[in-house]
Amino acid sequence: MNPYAVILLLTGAALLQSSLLPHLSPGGLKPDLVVILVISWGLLRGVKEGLLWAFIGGLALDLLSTTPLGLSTLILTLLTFLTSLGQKSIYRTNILFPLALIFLATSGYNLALLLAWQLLGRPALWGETFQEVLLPTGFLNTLAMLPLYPLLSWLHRRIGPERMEW
Amino acid sequence: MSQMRGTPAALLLLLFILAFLTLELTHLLKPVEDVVAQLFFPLQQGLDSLGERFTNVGRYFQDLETLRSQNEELQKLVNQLVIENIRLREAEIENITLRQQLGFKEANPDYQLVSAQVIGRDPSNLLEYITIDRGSGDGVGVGMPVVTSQGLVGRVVETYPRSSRVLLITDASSSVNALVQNSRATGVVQGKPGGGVVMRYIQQGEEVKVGDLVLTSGLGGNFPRRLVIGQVTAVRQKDIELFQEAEVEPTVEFGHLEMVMIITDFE
Repeated sequence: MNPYAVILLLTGAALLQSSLLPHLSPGGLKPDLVVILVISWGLLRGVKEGLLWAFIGGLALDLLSTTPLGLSTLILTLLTFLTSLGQKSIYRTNILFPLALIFLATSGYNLALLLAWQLLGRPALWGETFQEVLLPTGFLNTLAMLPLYPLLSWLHRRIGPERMEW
Repeated sequence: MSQMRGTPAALLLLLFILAFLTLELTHLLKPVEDVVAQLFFPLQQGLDSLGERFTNVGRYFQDLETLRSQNEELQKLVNQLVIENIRLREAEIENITLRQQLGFKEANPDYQLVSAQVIGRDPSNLLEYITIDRGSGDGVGVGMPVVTSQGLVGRVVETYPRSSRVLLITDASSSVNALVQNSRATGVVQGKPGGGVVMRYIQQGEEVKVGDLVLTSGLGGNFPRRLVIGQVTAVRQKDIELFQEAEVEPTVEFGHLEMVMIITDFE
């Protein structure tokens, strides 16, 4: 996929996540749209494209967030690398596996963020955060994956074999 | 020759017509006329009705075309009115908010206020920040308190020329010195994951009741005094602990924040 299109898509998704989704989501929680898109694309297309998506998506999140620039990029890139490594056809054919993986991956992303912030001096109330934010967000992300993954699978089939040119 | 041959026929026809006229004028043809009229009446009626139907069908198609174009026009009008209605509703809501802001300004003449619109939130569910459309170019600076007419929202933590980031009081890293209005008990209001606030470090023995209002104490000088934070919904008090805690329901609806005010100067 053309990297310029990826920049547009993921920046748009990050903007959507920070502006429109909080109004539509229950209890003020919003799905981690960018993380879902990046992890899913890595699963479908492999490490190379997954890493590019992770870098662009992470940067878009960092620019819109109060977190130190590069933190989301780093975590998302590492996570995408790990999840894309096992890219197999089973991911593509069975929806249950990506669903379970997105729950774990997005929870892992948020846990890593929380840990990084704690190391940077921000108070982290682990118990309450797990109960009030991490768990509900994980379920919300899994729910959001239901329409997103088939859409990305369709896009993946339409684009064809992996090819990236700037 | 041919003219000569036609003359008797013409004369005969003339005589026939004259005879008819005579009979008509003397009303002798009336019975015949009646019979003919009786015979023609249903035919006339039927044909007239058929004609009327044809006219109606024509009119129907004509009307259909007119109705179709009228319908299109009306649909356009409805669409315009719906948009106008939405705009008016939005203007009404904005008007209410601005009136509330004006009321707040009149009630607090010592504050220098700058109005701002909320344009975004932090993309992470773990952080409670908002982005507003006023920045250093509008006189907004780091540390300035942000409020609505309902109460305290947070404080500015980052500024850019045309926008700023605001740390909400519901964020886990936020701390605000506060007091309970009735008992004057002091404590610190801190944010908690999921968007609520809790008042900690209330001395044992201080009276805190459900329904009490919690206000900013002004200690530390970061926030003006007596800004409303929320209402106590539960009190946790254990004799073995050094302090009491109170669950506080913020008066500001953080999920529906659209417009805020930045206090750029206060005494």
